[in-house]
Amino acid sequence: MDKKIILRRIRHSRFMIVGAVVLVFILALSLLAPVVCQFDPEASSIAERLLPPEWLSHGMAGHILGTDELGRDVFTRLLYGARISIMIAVAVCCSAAVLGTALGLTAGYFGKKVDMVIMRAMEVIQAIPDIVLAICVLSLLGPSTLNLIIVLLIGRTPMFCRLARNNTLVYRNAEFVKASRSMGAGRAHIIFTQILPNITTPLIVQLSQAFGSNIMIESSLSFLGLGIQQPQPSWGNMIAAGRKFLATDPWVCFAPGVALMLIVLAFNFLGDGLRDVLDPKRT
Amino acid sequence: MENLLEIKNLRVVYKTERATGQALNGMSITLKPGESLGLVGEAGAGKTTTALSILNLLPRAGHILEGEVLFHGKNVLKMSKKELQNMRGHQISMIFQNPLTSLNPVFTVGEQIEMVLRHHLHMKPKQAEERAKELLESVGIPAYRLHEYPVQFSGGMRQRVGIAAGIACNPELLIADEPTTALDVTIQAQILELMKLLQEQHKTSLLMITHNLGIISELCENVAVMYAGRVIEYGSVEEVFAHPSHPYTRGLLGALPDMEKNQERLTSIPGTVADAQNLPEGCRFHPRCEHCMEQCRSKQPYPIALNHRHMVECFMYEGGDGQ
Amino acid sequence: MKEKITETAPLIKVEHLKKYFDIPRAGKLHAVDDVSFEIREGETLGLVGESGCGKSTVGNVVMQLLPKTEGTISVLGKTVEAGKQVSHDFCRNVQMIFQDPYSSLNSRKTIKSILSEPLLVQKIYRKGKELDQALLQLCDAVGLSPGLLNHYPHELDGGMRQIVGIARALSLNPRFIICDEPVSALDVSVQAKIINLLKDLQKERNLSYLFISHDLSVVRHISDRVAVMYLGQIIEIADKETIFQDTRHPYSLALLSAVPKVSIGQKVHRIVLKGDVPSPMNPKPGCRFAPRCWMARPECTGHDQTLQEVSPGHFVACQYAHLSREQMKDAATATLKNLSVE
Repeated sequence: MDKKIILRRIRHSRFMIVGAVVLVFILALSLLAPVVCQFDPEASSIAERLLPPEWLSHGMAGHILGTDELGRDVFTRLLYGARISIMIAVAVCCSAAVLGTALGLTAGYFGKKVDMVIMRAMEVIQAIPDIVLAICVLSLLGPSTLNLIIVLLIGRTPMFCRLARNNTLVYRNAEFVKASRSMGAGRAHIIFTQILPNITTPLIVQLSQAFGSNIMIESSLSFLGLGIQQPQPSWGNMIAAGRKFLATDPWVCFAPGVALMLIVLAFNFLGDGLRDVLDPKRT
Repeated sequence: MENLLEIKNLRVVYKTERATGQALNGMSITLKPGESLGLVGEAGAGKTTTALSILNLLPRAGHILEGEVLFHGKNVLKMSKKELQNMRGHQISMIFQNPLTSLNPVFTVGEQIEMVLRHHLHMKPKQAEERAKELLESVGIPAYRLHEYPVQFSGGMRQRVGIAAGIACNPELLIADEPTTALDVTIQAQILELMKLLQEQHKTSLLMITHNLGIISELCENVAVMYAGRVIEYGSVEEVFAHPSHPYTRGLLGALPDMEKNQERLTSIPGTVADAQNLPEGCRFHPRCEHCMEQCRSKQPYPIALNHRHMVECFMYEGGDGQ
Repeated sequence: MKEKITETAPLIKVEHLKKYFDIPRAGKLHAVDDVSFEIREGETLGLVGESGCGKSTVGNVVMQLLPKTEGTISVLGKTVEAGKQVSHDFCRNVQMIFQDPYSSLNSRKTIKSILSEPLLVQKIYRKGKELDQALLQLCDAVGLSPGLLNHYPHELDGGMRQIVGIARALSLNPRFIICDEPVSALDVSVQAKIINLLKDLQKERNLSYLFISHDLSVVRHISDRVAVMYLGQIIEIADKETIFQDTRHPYSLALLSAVPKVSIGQKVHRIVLKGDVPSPMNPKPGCRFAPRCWMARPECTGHDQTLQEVSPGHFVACQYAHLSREQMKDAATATLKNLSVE
C-alpha cells in the first residue's frame, strides 16, 4: 500500500498515537531503569517500610511512589517488573506468531488431513482456559520464567494459527498462485514468496493485541504465585504482595495496577489503530 | 409531450480519502413517457451514478455539486423523505446487476414481492399474494414457487424475480442497471425477450444501462453514449449505430468483433479510459482522439444537433453539418 | 497458409480427457466428460460454452493445475505425466493467461518481480544484469513501458495488468498458451487492444492458443477452429467458417442466435431455450442437451451421442446433424413460442 496513505491515516488515528506514545514512554523508562533509579529492586530495608509516595518532592532521589512492606522502592520495582513483563510478552508473542503462522500456512495450504489434525489440536488447546492450562503445567514443572514462557506460548499459538490458516485458504486458489504453479514453482516457493506476504497484515494487528493480553495473563499468573517469583519484581506479584495493605497503604497495590491497565489499554489502542491504518479496503 | 424524466447539467463527485473523483460532469438527458433509452459507456463513465442520482440514492461519499433531476417536473434531489419513499419502487423502480445479492436471502421471493405491493399500494395480505402470483407467472415462473427462498433459484430465475418486483407497482420508469451482465448468453436471451414482451404490454419507460451495444440495439429506441460523466452522443438507435459521429462512439463500435464477417484487426481506441480523479481539460476525450484540434484541448464542446434525431458533442461538427 | 497448417503434426493432443469432482454426499460432478481435441502449430482453437460447461476446467487440467481423472495429454508427441508440481519441461512449452487481471497478479509484488518470477523459478537467469536485459526485451515485445516495472499492480488499469499477465506467460518462450477468458473482465476498447496483441504475438512467434471464452464474437475473431462445449462435452467442433455458417448442433445454433447484435433495421430471429443449464452432477446417459432441445425425440435420451464427422473436419454430436441450419430454425419457431420455464 501507498506509504503516503498509511502516514496520513496514522496522523488521523488519535487512539493509535496515544497508544504508541504511552508504550514508547513505558518502554523507554523500563529500558533506562538502571540509569533512572538509584535503588536496588530486590534489596529490602525494614526501616523504610511502607513509606507513602513522596512524588517528585525529592526529585529522582526520593521514593517517588513510596515503598512496599519490605522497604523496597515501588517505582524501581515497577520499572524492573515492566522489563520482565515486556521481555516475556515479546518472547512469547513473537514465537507464537512464528509457530502459529507456520502451522496455519501448513494447514491452509495442504488442507484435508493435515488441516484436520492441526486445527483439531488447536481447538483442544483453545478449549482449555489459559489460566487453567498454566496452573496445571506450572504446578507440574514448577514455576520458572522459562516454563512460564512455554505455557504462554502454547496458549497464544492457536489464534495466530487460525488467522493464518483462514487467510491462506483465501489465497490458496487465487489466480496468482495458479500462475506460479503453472511456471513450475514448488510448494515452498508458493507458500513463502506468494502467500505469506499477503497474510502478514492481519497477523501484525493480532500480534500487537496479543502483547497486551499476554502481559495481563502473565500478571495474573504471577499474582497467583505461579509466574515470576519474589523477590524478582513483577506487576502481578507486586499487586499480590500489596493486597494485605490495601486498606492502610494503598499505593503498593495501586501503582502496578494502574501501570497494568495503562499498558494493556495502550496495546489495544495500537492494535485497533493498526487494523484501521492497514485496512486495504478502507476508502 | 411532457418529459417524464429530465436530468439537467448534473455534477457529482465522489470524495474518498485518496482523492476526489468526478463521476458526472454536466450530465443531461431527457426521457419521455413510454420511451426506452439506452445508456452505454465503459466502466467509470458514470452510468450507475446517473441511475443512483435519479433515485437520490447516492452513497455517502457522493456529493451533488450542481444540477437537477426532474421527475414529472419535480426535483428529486429536493424531495422530502416521504416523497422519495413513495417515488422509489412505486413510480420508479430499479433492476440491479447482481441477482445474487439484490434479493434478501431470509425472505421468500413471494414475501419480497408482497412487501412492495403492501407498502406502496396498501394491498391486503391475501390480495398481495394473488398479485404476486400473477406477477411471477408474467415473468415465466410458476406460481407455486412463491414460497421458496432466493437460494432455491438459479441466477436467471432470480433476475426474473427482480423484474417481477420491479414491475409490481406498474412503475412509470424502470431503470435496469446491467441486468444481464452476470448471466450466461442463453439466459440473457431469455431475460431480454422477457423485457421486450413486458415493454410491449406495459408501455413503461425504460432506462437501460449497459456496456453491451447489442442489447441497446435490440431493446431501445434511443441511445446516449457516455464518456467521463457526460453524454457525448445522443440519438435514435438507428441513427447513432448507422452513422456514429463522435470519435469515441466510432471507436467503440469498431472495437467490437463482428459476428458476421471476418476482420484482420480490431480498431482499438488508443490510451486508457479517462481517470475520474484527473480528468483532462477541454473535451475529456481529446488525449485519445485522432481528430483532436486546438480548441479541443481547452474548451468543453457543446451539444450540436446533426439532425432532429441525432446530437453530438464534438467540435468537428461545428458550423454547418460537419461531414 | 491453410494447407501448411494441416501438414504440421499436432503440437498438443488431448484424448478422452475426463475430470470428475467428488462432492461428498452428492456424488460425482462430471466437469469434463470425455473431451478430445488437438491443436497444431500456429493455430488457435476457440473453446466456447456457458458457465459451468467445464471449459475452464479443461484449461486447468491441460495446464496440470488440476489432476485429471482419465485420459491423456501429450505435448509434441510426448505424454505428460502427472507430478507433484508442474514439470519444468512442460511449462517451457505450455503457459497460461488467466481471466482476472486483478487476482492473477500478486498485489504485494512489483511488476518487475512478477515478470522475473518464471525466469528465476526455472533458473534461466539469476538476479542481475542479464535478467534486467531479458525483462526489457519482454516489455518491448508486449509494448509495456519499462518505467512500469517498479510499480505495483494496483497502480495499473485492467488492460495494462492483463498485458503484464501476457508478458509473464511469454517470459519462458512457450509454444502453446492457454488463454482462459483473457478479455472477459475488460472494457470493450481495452479488449480490442488485448486481442490485437495476442494476434500479433501469434504471428511473430508462431504460437498456438487454446482460447477459452464465453463470448462468441471474440472467439470468432481470434480462432481458426472452434469447439462448443455443453455440460462437460464437446458437442460440435469445426473450423470457424463452418461452425458459424453451417451450424449443425441445435445448442450451437441457439447459442449463436442468443448473442445480442448491433443490427440496424433487422428483425432478430432468436431461438430462446427453455430453462437453465442442468447440473453436471451424476448426468443421465444420452444427449445432455436433450431436456432443453426442441428437436429432442425419445431416442435422444436412450444412448450417448458421439461426435460424428459430417464433412471433413466438422464433427457434431447430434443425430439431426444431417439437417441444415434453416431446417432446425424452422423447427424451433414451430415449437418454441412460449417463454415460460419449467
